[in-house]
Amino acid sequence: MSLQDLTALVVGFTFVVYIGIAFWTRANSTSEFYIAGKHVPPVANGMATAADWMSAASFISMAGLIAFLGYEGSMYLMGWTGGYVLLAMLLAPYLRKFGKFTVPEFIGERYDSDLARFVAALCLIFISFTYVAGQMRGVGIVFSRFLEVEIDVGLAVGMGIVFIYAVLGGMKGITYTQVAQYCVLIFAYTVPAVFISVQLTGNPVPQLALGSTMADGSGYLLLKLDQVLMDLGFTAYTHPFNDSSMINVLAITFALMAGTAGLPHVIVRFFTVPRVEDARRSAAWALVFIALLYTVAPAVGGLARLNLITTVNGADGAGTPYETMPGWFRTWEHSGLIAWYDHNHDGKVQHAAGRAFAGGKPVFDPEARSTSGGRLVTNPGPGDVAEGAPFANEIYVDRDIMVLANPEIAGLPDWVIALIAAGGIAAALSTAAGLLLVISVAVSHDVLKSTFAKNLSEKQELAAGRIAAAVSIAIAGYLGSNPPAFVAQVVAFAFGLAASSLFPVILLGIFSTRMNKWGAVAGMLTGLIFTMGYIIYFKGVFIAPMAENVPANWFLGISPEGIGTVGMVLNLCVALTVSHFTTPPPVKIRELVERIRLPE
Amino acid sequence: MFPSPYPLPEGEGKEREKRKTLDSRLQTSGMTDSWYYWLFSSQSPYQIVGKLGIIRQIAPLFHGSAKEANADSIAHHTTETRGIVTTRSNAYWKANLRLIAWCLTLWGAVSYGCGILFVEQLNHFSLGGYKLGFWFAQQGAMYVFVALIFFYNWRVTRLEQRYRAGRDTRDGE
Repeated sequence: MSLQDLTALVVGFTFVVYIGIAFWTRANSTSEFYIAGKHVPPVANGMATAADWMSAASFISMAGLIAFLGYEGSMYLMGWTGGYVLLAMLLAPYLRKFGKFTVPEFIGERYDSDLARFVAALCLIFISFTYVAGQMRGVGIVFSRFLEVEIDVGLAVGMGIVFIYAVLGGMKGITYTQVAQYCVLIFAYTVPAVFISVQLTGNPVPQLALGSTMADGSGYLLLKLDQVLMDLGFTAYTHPFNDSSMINVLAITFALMAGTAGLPHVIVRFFTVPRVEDARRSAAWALVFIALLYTVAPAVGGLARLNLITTVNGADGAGTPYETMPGWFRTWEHSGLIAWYDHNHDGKVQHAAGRAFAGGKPVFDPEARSTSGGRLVTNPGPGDVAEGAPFANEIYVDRDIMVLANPEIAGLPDWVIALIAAGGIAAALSTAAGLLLVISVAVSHDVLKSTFAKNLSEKQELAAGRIAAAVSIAIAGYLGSNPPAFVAQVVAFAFGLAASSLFPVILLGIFSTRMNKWGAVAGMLTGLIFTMGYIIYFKGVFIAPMAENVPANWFLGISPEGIGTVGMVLNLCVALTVSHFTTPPPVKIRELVERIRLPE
Repeated sequence: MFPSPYPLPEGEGKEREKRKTLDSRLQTSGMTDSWYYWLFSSQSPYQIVGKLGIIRQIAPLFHGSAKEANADSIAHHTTETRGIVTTRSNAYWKANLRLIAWCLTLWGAVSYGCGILFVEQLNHFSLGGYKLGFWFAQQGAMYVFVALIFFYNWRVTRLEQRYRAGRDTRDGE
């Protein structure tokens, strides 16, 4: 059986399982559609939260980011797990005690204002869109590999499947499907990691393998990796702050933590459990299930980087002739995620520090092939040899493929490669479904029903939600095909926005009885506008960037990925100042806050 | 189990054998498990003062602080008076806030402290093939996060049980 057939079989089998579960547990009422009727046990909810949470970015891109960033990759690791501590202690139990359907609904009632609810719904929609765009990109990448087509075609297939899945599912169906998806994705992630760990170090536990000695007796793995990288002109893998300054690492880590705690599709998962203490317990289980993958990721990143270099540069470190490169190199070159230009015309593929292509990313000639069969690229760089490197860098490797191509690079059996495809699709689908549900509920329940059409019937509300889901999938698809950055960075924007708008407002709503609606609205708008403005100024999501995105131009040396931290501080300052000079909230609101704080 | 702070006498003499028997008796008695053994086995008064400070800081987390005890007594002797009920709620909320403050201090210390701010200093030490700071940033912090949430859940559930016990007493009277 060929690899492609095997992959189709494995992925097809998982689809049958998901659709079966979604059909078996489909929602019968609005409460089941929005919050699964509050009947989800904490451990199952923890697993569903983990799947909902671990997106295509976590599964596909994170290990790749760590592989290329080294130490700096830890800002994603700590940032995307540390937020659960905030969630379990500061938000989840109180929001569950409040006991309604959505996050904007909490904000609306706590601040006694439809305006606050509307602004919160707007923030939520912005955040979820940014996030879902990253998912669509991930779905496109996996499908393009799995169906061997261009990314845009893969994207269209992914959009179709997510559409069926999110519109017909409902929260209850999504929850139990996510439990299955978690099992698929964690299995798919750890099995290749264990294989590679054994191959390189003889230690089957990836978390320990990264700190072990090489199986070939060449000393500690991390020391060897540092050495190999420095010989090629890169900076040492474990050395801190060579890709990013300390203040930027701090800001990004905090923005990701606060953003995690403010992400609406995660918060809403804690509305689905029976009791308040179950909300805390499911946050703990969610982190256990997430940490299972997140502690493996740095091992995958480190081992994959070492594997890639030794495969491309060969045993003698002088490069490998293109004709003898393994099959995966051509496959990924065809998908457009690897590119090669023979700068020194020796017919060998060589990898070192420096850019192989002008502007970083390669531009392919659609049809033309070179005499050796490689794809032709129209924008080769000058081919300069970087400082400390033995030769010019000749290849471009998209970070996103580090996980997807890793088993092939390591020469693992075909069924492991098929498993990775299934896992990547599970990760992207589970998150996309959760996000699209949150968007459609926000549009139907928070924007339409509460603001524009208060006499909407339940049936009309659901129909509006479904139309909203369809429109948002189309927009997400467009963003997925024209992404502003790598998948993980697109997602990082969603976190900046969540950290600077929703998180502070929910936090103040619980921990301050004095905070009123004027403070909340002013704070949210300040945080949102500042953070969005800063990101668009440097990254230009729909327009051309207004300044070059380099550390010299950044405010306090903080990159657009970490600016959510500053946005959050601004939000808090503005909210506290404005509420200090306006009337305090009415007594019934203060009583509401005190009721939320106390146990049932 | 806390080890004996006194070094064993050198050589093979009678003194050494005597100390060994004493030490093993202490170990089997279970006394060395307790915090007061650790405290009073100190070699100088200064060490005792230092250790007392640590116990003062940490003990409330494990044994319940005086303020919590106060919440307890209020819980069991409350009347219908609104003022006192509010005090009891306040005591619960304040104990909860204190617990959160402790947990978040540790949360920040392992991630921002060990993982980022002091990573270069910690990298001078190593843990197997990991540099210690690098290990905290890519492994250790996450293990501490998991442990922290479970610890918080355990403690806050106990606080809640006390609060509920108080409310039920009041309802019964």
